[in-house]
Amino acid sequence: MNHFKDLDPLLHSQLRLAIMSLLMSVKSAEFVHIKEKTGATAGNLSVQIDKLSKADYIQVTKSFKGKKPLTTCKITKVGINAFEEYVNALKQYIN
Amino acid sequence: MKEEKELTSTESLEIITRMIQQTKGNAKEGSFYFLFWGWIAVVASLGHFYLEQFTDFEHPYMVWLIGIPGWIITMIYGYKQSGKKRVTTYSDGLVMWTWLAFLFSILVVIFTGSYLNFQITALILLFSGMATFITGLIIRFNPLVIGGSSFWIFAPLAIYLGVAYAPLVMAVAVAVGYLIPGYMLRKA
Repeated sequence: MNHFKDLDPLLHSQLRLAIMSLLMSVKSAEFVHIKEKTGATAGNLSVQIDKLSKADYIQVTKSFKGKKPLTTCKITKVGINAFEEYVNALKQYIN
Repeated sequence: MKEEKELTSTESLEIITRMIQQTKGNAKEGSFYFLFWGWIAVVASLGHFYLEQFTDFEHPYMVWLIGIPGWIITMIYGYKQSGKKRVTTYSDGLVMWTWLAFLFSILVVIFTGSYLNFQITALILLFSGMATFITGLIIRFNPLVIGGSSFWIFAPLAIYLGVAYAPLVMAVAVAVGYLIPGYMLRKA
């Protein structure tokens, strides 16, 4: 799969791309919501969210809703730019 | 979802499209506001009309004070709903600000009514129609766009028929512009 060497490896993964696409279209989303929509396991999702957060693609806020811990994710400007670049690169491959 | 699998460009596009479509369709809960305020407005305008035409009560417009507990219930409901929500969309904020802008506009109309020949009802209709129209566009629900547009017919009608009959026009307008689309939204 040499064709894909220009595609951002951080985004070119099923689950991370799904997380980023979801966050592109909303203002913010809770962990449970992302889990439900992507169908991923909590463990895997945590790992991938961590990777995206470390790259500053998303901003993760931890708080409490009543007594339950609450993790909210939001896409950052860096993340939006990376996503747009990824889509542009994708377009070139398709054309 | 498996992590290791190499993606093709088609698969990537498919993921992006599917996830973006997931965010559609949490507009349904907004039907509460249209139904709740629709019924308040119908009851208040019919009450207003009845008191003015058939009784000696001096301040028939006072029935509109039921709007105050209405706002309190709306705020409590909105607060509770936002607690339940697990995702915040951009359109939620746009709809909320549209209706706050509507609230500020009608407050101006209510407090300057005596300078406006008391054509308060017609002006409120005009603002309600605009806010409903914009909400319909934001949440992409055409019955609301059409319902909101109908107020551009009802508002001048209320002006031509005069202050005495304006509450009746308001009741019909709200049934057409709020209640019908509101029930359709709840069913959607």
